[in-house]
Amino acid sequence: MSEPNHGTPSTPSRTAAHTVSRTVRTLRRSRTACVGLGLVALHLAVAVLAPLLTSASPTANVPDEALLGPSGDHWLGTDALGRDVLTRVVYGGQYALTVSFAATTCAIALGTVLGCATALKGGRLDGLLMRVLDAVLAIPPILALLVVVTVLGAGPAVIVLAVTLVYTPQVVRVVRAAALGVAPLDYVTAARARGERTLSILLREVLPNIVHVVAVEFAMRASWVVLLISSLSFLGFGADPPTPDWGLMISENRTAMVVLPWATLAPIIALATLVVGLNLSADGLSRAWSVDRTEEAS
Amino acid sequence: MNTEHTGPLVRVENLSVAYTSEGADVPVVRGVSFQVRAGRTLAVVGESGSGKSTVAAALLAHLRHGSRVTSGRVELAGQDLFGLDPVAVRRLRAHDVALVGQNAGHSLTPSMRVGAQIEEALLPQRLPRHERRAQVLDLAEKVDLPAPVSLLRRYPHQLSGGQQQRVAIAMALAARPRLLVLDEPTTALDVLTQARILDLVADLSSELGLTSILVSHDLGVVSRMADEVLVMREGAVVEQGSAQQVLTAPEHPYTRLLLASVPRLEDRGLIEVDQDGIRAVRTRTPVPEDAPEVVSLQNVTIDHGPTRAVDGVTLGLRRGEVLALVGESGSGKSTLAWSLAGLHAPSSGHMRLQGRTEGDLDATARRRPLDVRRRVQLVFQNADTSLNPRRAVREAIRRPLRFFGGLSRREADGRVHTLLSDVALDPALSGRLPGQLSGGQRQRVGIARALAGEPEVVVADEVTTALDVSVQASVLGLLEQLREERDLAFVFISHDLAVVRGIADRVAVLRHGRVVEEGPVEAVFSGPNHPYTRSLIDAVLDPSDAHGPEPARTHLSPELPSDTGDDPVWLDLGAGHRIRRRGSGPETTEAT
Amino acid sequence: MLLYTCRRLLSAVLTVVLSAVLVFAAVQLLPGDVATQVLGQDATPEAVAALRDQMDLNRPAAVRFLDWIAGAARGDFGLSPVSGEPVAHTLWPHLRNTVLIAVSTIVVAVTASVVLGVLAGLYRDRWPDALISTLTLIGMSVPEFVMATLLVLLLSITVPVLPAVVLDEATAPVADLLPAVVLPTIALSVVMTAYIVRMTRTSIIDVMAGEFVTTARLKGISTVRLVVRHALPSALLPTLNVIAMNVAWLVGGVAVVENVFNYPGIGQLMLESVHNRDLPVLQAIAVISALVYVLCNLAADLGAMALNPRLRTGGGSKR
Repeated sequence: MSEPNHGTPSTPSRTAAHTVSRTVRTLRRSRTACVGLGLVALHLAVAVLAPLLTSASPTANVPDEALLGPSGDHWLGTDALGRDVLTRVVYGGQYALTVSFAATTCAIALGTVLGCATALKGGRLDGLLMRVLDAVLAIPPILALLVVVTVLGAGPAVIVLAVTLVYTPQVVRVVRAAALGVAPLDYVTAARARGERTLSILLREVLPNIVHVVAVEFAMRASWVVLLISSLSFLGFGADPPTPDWGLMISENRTAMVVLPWATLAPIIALATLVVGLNLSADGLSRAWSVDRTEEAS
Repeated sequence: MNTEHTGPLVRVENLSVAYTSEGADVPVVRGVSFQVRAGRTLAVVGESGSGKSTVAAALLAHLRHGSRVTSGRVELAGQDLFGLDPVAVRRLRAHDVALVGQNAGHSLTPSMRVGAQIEEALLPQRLPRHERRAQVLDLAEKVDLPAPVSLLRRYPHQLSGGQQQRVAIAMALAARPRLLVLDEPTTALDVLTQARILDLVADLSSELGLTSILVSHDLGVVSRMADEVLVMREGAVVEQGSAQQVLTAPEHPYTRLLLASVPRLEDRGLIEVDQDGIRAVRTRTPVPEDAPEVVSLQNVTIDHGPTRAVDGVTLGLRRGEVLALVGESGSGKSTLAWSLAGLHAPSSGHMRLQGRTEGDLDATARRRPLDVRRRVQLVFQNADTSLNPRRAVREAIRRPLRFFGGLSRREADGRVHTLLSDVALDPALSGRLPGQLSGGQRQRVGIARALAGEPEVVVADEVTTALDVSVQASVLGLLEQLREERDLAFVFISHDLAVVRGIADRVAVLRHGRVVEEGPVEAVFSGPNHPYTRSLIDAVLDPSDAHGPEPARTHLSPELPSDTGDDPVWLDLGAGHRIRRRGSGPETTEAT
Repeated sequence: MLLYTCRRLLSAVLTVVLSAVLVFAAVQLLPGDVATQVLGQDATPEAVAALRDQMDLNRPAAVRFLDWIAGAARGDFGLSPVSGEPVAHTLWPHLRNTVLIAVSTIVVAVTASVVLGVLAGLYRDRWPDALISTLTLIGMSVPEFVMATLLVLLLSITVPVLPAVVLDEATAPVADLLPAVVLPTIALSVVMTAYIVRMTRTSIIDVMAGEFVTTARLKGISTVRLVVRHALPSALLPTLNVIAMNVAWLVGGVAVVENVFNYPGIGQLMLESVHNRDLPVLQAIAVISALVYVLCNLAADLGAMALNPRLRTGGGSKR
């Protein structure tokens, strides 16, 4: 029989390069993922380069220039305290992005470790952990967050901790489901028949095959975290008032929305484009890698 | 479509189908033409990727998502099927063509009672309700469903595989189609169930004068059913003609190769097929009389929760010997194999490894000493899932080398190349990922990985079942060669008795977790046999018995000798051939 | 099956109790004295001592928890240290008002999302799908407080047909509150619909490509019958869980939206309690939310049983 002959042989050192080239190919295939990741990258760049993009201060009050409409000096006008809206929008991503990124990373890392471990170990540990996580899931995220913030105060570290706490159970469920899908496959069985240790099976056989699920989950989860954190700021429990933050800006300026629509609309657009970017990334990646996202809303 | 039509019922002319992948057309069917006259059965034969199922679906004016007809036409009674509007297509499927799919377990809607699903196929005939119900019952009786009244009220998951396939057939017949398309109708079934379903279809075809198109990879099934045969390869027709002509005097080299690669019950050894499709049977070197036993099983019982999968099995395996475990699904053969490999501990009894390394095999792998663990290795049925898709071939083989042998990375890499050559693979493939290999290549990598531990015993669990017949022959040849070169002992799990005849030295037939017959391969295949073994042997379909849809022949089997001996359980026929006495084992027969 | 139902009920009760423990622990055992938390750092020692007495803080936490959970089971959540009234007095009217929004949101969102999801799935990769998917993406990306703000701009300020802010008391009659329910319902429905539509679409596409739907299609039955009888029962199975999750999410989403409209519901009460550090009220809300979550999941499981005979008949007899 003729054996199909595609792909090129590679040397061991190229396995990493292979992964990279696969990812690049994936991106080239999925325009959705490209647009999404592009949007996220744009937001990251703006947040990092904010001091270079605008010379105005995002926090200094200028009472004389309060409530101005768009003009050459202030493209999007000023707010009630005379601060330039565009400047505040440009800086406004910093808080949301930092806190969201940190919180998402923690939740994903912790969730992946717990999810894989419980899937592979199974038995009583699995039952117990899932029961506890179910109990955490039963408390609405925003309420849990508010309780923690009430008790411990509203510092960024506390919010990262609280968001990690709130979202880890959901990540555990997704990762556990993915790991359970891989665990009965024959190559994992082969490793078990060799008598390999659980950690080794996890790292060599299971993790490489659910990395894509974790990546999609990261993008997905990040969009939820951004929304949650901006909700918190909107309610007055997140970023503290002088800080430029989109959620806070929307809350501050919405009463004057009729007079100065841009002061509210600009942060809304910034926030929405970031979340759209994250959602598109998750969407595109999951389609390109055909990740089953049945668990996405859990 | 009730107009009288002369000429062949089905006419396919120069049909080409392609699907679009990343902007390019990938052809799946290339210029296929054939005709079927009313009342005849045409078999479309081919290996995986031959496009045979696409052709079958095209007869129902159906294409997979993303595929399209690039040229040609498909005509049923003079009507071009791909020129029909959606309403006409629905009429066509409701009245003129019906399909029986491969796996009835997947093709019946899980949330609907089976009776309702059959009844649905009758809806287009607009009968009054009570008449419809009567017809459903009638159909259920026609396909020999037991206790039809209560069975029709069940859901698909409450039926056995054979019953599900009977429901699917009833559903197809309900429309009184002019053409019945059978797409691998028995592939997912056990051999005995397959035989009964094929009998049913053959009977119904002659009774109702059906025209049918049978798609199959199994030349045995084809010879049993077909009047005419069409052989496909990579989307194109390579040969077509009467079943008699194609199956006994094939003209095309590919057809010859395909036919020659099918193992037959008469072969007393493995077959070798050369480029021209000439087959030769290798004579087997017998296992030396004094070969020491390497594995012994004493009264092994294995439970899966409340169900007993293996029930008191006692067997021995000698060095250099191939012991075949034969049985249908649920016989416990795979469970036993996995226990040997250390994946599931037996609940009672003893399994022991003897020979160069000694040790108990009662424990799971992690509790076995490393040296015992490496001596027993497992090869999996499905090469697609037995290799980690993210790890290159080299890494798959290197891992056991380093794990068992403690070799350095460089030493291991060297051994990987040797092992790849040993399983007749190009060492240049070592950088490939499993997804870049063919099914046969992947199975060879799986074998190389098992060899890396330098085992004495290899447990091969249905290793050729998922392979095309031509690839199967070469993989079996490889196993035989490894056995001779390395004095390996094999536990060879299979449901295919013709394959077993070729490769095994000894055979143990399992049923409901018990051994019903055990003996040297020649003794078992020449009989006398346990009735269950006999029925398994009789159910094997031989492609050279091409005589169209006639009742199946039965092999002549010697009578069991009169009841001698004093063992209450076993009837000993000498030379290690023994048969479980009737009444000393479960005698239930599955209703299908 | 009866056994399964019992086990499921038991695990539901266990989950609620466990979440109550978690909430209680978070509120009472985290650093800081609860009485000081409630009264603030400047409170006089006498006031703190009085409150400690009133809140029974001098007894062991475990005993307090048992007392509290026993009371909660009877609908008695203790006294609010802020208002001095029983928690239940303020809780029930607010809960009733939130149920108004929640029920209308669930009805609107579930209906809309199943219909839209099925449409998008059936017209996969064609314009109805593209349109629905784009709207969905926007719905998912705009936070509910933004949606609420924009709705106020549109339907209360630009075209003043609906009230932007509610001025009624929590105990106002239902009829008075009805106009105020509309905007929060729309805001929440849009977000909730977005998530469920995606799930329904994916699962319809999966099921429609499945073997049994293809087989049914090849029987020549009508598309409506194909979708309703064959595809939907299986396609709704994963959707059910998403719906349950979203209903549970509502409790959180409601907090933000109620804040925008000043609607006197449970969310508003929650924020007030956070401001006032009224911890007993927060505990009560948390337990009720957990109960809602658990009940939703229970309902989803029962729904799954109705849709999947395999769950109903307790596994296959032969396979």
